[in-house]
Amino acid sequence: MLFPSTIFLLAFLPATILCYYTQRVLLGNRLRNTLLLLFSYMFYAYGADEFLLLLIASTAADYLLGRLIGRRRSANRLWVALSLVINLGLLGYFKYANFMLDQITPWLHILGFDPINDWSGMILPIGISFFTFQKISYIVDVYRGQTRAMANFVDFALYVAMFPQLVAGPIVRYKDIWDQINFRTESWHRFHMGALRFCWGLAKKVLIADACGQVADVVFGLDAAAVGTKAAWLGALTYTFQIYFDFSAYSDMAIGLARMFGFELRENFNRPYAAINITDFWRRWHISLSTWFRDYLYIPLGGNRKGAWRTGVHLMVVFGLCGLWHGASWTFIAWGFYHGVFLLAERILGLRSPSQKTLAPLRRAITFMIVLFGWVLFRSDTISEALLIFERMCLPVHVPLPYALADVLHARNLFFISVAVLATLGAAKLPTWEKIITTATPLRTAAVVATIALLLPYCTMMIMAGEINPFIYYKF
Amino acid sequence: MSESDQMNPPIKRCKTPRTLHACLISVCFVLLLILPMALGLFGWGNAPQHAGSPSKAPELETKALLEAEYYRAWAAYINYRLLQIRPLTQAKRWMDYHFFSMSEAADVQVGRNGWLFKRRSTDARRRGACDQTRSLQRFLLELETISHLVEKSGRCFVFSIAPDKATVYSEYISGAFAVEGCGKTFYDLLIDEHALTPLKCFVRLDHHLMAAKASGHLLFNKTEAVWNDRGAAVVAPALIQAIFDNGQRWASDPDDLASVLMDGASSPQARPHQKEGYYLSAAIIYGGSAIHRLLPHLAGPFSRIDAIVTDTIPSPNHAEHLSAYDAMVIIVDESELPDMRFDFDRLCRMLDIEALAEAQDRVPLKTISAGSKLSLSLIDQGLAIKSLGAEAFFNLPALPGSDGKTLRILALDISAAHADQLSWVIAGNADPTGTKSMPSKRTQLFLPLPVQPSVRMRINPGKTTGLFHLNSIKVLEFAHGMPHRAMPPVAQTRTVAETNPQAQSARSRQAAPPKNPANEAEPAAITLNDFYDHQIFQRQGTSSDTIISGTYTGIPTGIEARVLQYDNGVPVTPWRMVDSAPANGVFMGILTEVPQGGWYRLLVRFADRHGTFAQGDARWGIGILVGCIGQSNMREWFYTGEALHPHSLLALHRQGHWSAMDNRGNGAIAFGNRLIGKLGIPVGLLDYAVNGSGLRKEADWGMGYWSDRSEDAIYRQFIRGVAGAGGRLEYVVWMQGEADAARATITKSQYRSALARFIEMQVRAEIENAARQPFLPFLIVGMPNRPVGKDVPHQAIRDAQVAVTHEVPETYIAAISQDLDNAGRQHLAPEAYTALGLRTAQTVLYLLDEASNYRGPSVVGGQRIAADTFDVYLAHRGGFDFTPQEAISGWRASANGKFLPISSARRYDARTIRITLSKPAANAVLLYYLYGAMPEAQQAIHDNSTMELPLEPAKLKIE
Repeated sequence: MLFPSTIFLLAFLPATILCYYTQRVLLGNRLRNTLLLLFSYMFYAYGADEFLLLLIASTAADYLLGRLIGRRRSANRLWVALSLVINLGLLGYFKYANFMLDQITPWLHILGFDPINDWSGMILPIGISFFTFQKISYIVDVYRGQTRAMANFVDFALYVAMFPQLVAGPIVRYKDIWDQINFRTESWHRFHMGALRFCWGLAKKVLIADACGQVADVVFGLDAAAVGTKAAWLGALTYTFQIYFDFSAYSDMAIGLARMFGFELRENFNRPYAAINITDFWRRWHISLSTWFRDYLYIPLGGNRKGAWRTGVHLMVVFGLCGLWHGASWTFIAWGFYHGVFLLAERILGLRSPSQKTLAPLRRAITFMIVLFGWVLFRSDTISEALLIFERMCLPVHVPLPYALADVLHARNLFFISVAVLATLGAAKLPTWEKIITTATPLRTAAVVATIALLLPYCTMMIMAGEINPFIYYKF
Repeated sequence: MSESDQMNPPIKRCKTPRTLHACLISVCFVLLLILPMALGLFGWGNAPQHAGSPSKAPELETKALLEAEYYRAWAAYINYRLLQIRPLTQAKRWMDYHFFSMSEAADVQVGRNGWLFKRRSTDARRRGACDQTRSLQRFLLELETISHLVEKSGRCFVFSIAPDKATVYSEYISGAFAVEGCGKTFYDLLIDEHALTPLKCFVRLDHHLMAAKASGHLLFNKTEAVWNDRGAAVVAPALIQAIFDNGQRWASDPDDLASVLMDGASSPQARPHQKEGYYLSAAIIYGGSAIHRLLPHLAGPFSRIDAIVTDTIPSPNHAEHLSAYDAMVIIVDESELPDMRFDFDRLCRMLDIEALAEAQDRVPLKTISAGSKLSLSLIDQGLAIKSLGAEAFFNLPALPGSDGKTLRILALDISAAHADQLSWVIAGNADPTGTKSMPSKRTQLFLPLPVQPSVRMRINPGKTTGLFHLNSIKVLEFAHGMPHRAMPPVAQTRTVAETNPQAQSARSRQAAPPKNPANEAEPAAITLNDFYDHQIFQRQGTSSDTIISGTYTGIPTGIEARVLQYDNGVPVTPWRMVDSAPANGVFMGILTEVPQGGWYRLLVRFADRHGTFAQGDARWGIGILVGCIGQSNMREWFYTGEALHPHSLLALHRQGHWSAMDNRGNGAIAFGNRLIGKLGIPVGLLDYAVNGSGLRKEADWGMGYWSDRSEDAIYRQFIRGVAGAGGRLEYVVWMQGEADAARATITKSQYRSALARFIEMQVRAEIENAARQPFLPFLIVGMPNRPVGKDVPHQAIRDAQVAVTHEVPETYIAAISQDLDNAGRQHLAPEAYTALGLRTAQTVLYLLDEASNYRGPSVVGGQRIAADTFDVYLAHRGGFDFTPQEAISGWRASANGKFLPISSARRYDARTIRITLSKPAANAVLLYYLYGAMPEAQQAIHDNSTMELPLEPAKLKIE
């Protein structure tokens, strides 16, 4: 089920809100977690009924393992290892089996073995990348003693499967949320902040991200001969905007939805296109993932404490795996290594943390371009396609813009792409949404009225008209 | 504060400004989300519903919570109930159009100042049509030929093109994108060609429109695709002038008194009008939607004017005949021009061009020579052709082509045992190839000969192996020259084989043809043209004749064939001579009376050298073929459910190919297995249903409609499939109706007449009947319960289907499906398809006298017992009692148009149902059983026969 869909917006969400707050009034919140969990499972079943039992079973397995680890017995390492094997095994099987098979089949042939003919191809369970990492973080945190194991299965299951962040994050650390599971409070203020944040995210997704996405999809779908320099740059730029506004919109909606039920989730984005270097970029982009990799992979490998050479290796491993996490494709792996190389270069050249204000606009522009080229790699289906677009971007090739773009470069899309451009250019200077709606100014009033009276109805109309793309990160 | 209060503090009241602000926003947000659903649930904006027919939500089922389809059923129900989707979607589109000058509609382009254009037109202008010059030349040649022939028949012929709005008002087309290609549309190219070599029949209209536009007239409305009345009025005189091209200006319309006044005519011209001695009293106009506004302006001179909107001339969907008309006018919409087709053969037959020809030269059949993979033999009535498929051809002798003085048309009188595609190649011609559809009967085909001194042509009679009979070939001459048109060169010379992609198909699995087939020095060898694996031939009675063919080297005295059981090699038929005079390396013959059964394999050998033989690998059989057509619930017979295992003798024919049935499709498997189990012979199911397809054109929601007989239509694909399977069926199963019931598009009488016409004029006219009944049995499976929908239109379709069974012979309601619950979904559950398959098989067995009944009990009468109690009487067929005993569902009662609640419906005795209303009803009461779109069928009535057949729907009035 997508957030920007009729069934979610006009049926599931109101039903969840009404049931939740009705039970609050009638039952004093005794069943609030159970209720949220049931709705979360229904949310998941809508899109992936065949994997619901998998989700429940793997949740149960980690719950039990967490309990065992929490008892602080000698076999804790074994339980952690078992949990990792189960979680990473499931992730690897569902997400990477097809890819691995595609890679080894030619080698089987070369080595004289028969190819595997009866492989029917795996379907990826929705959200597996996200809830797997959440469960791993829970197990490791319990093992490390940073948090206690959850005693109540329902509460733990809710942590894993809470619908706002179930299918596309942010990856929530158990230690950040454990107290909220039982001790959170709902209030008018929190609810309205959540509602506004949700509407803001919805508008970013439906209006801005999709406008950019329509253009990017056309460009990346063109034949090689039709891609000139203009089209290549147009596609790269619009995809750069699309992926940010799409993913940050989802995070906004997730944060907003969680707030409606009393949860406070951490921010997942912090103006990433205002970053002054790649290191800074990764402190601002998909924060929950980057910190997860930092805390559960980079630091356990040794981080930067084992010398420069090892640090470099750690960085490349972490970012290679980060790329692989996004999908089973060489382009994602290449994208990960691409960022790893720049991070390494910044370390070597000492560019990681000079004074923030030195040539900030220039550094932002350079960082933006590096990131933009990285997104081309990320978006392309193959490395050769990415290289073609790089070539077209760097070496002028005059090919008139294909007419297919005329259908998507209409006034509405151009307007919202312009909004994306202005927001990106002003990323460092413009106030954040949270700041706007928490500071009592006329701007806040205007923003609130516009959101509730204009954006929400217009986005609802767009959704009803069926003109919505799925979230990009939905497929991870 | 207690711990519980700490965990669960009360929500603050909205008293402080901050909290009030938060309250307000929160409440507004929730209300906005709830509002559409609430309005929908409370019926705001709902159309008035039929008494007692609420729209039904999917049933609440715990186990269904694990099924994605259950949620989607709810989503569909919610979307249906939220009627505001339509006004809100329209509001959004209004905003897009007025604020952003854009539209998401695929067929509409928004230009400057809000001008709307057909996207097809703007795309055509942008892409150009220079890659279609060959098509244009072909089109013009055909057009000129037709023009000559029509005028030769004494009729007037006018061809024109209604210019697109984009042509006349191009300045309103927005977009900064350069035109691709040559920048010329198909119309531009035609105009250029007309300038070089004028088309006598062509009337150009665009400069009339441009002149009127320059004078300040608005000829197209901003938001319409075709010209307005003013535009039509501007072009009409030019067309009339062309039709009455007698050098005199046509006098004013006698009904237009103002023009009569201005012309000063003393008396209006009387109808009919004269043209060169002929009266033009009736005209037929073919064209696109532009002709609608033209008709009032053209009608004046004629006493009768018929207009057909079609892209194929003559129309395949109407029964017009040119003999009824004096003038034939074609006004094609510019955007539809590339899609225009002439059914040249039908036109020629209508015009009886043989009678019109100034001269006819019969081509001696003995001058025709065999090419590859084909043998010819002269017989009394013509030339017998044994063709081995797409690579086979025969050569005609050199024939004179058309020239500046004479139009020549080749007329072939040919018979084919099966429908196929005839194709030809003309040596040395810039447009060498062509194809024509050939029906499975004797027919005449006409090929205009190109403008060249000598025409050397080779013809492939059909893509599939078969016997053809060429009765005669003539060259018809008409004393009207054809201009030479320069055809763009082909990229490479193509052979007959190259024109037929299926030449490489599995159909011709034989080895390469012998280099010198009649060479005595070649070693003797024989190759069999094997059948398709799992191919089933329709039986005729209890056997069937099959065509055996192949190639050979050596000099056999004859070729013999026999049939073996596939599994154990036991002979099914003895050795029989199939071709006693093989020639040219090709043998072909008919193996008669192969008994029904399977799987078989073929064996062929030289009659004089038994050691030279070949064995087929394919398994095939003789059995029953059943065509399955309709919409999605028919298609789901083949896709829903994996619980059953298909019998090994069950095969599937889909998209022109045979295959073994896999374990998907409970309905098809249950149907086939039951028949095979009872009859012991193979059953082939032809799966040609199309999701969402309608019967009538009005019910075409984008997936096609079955009454459409045009070339690319879904019906034509079915017929091609049947032709590929041999052209004969024993039964046709039809499950359709939802598309026509949707939005109350089709009335009962419309559906009834359309279905009757479809059965009699289409299916039975084009498919050979292999059943023992006098007409091809047409088995209707009733529509199931719907998840949404209005009762009246759905009942209309059900009633129409029942009515057709009474009017059209050998038409049956083979199975009822309303008693099968679909849990609120579009399609039935897998078990329900199994039941349908079994019920339909029972009907087939009944028709074969293998079963004593196929229908369940029916209502035969009723009686009022008390003011609130009624007895309904049943007549049993297969069983003698029924279930359930209590809480029977599916009944409704009404009086004076109002729904009457039923408090109980129960079994009174084996033949009586007692229905008690909640309140007494003084007036006559109407009782319905399984009525409408979604009757309550949880506890429907079934008899106690082994089939547990349902009580048939009923409606009765009890006083």
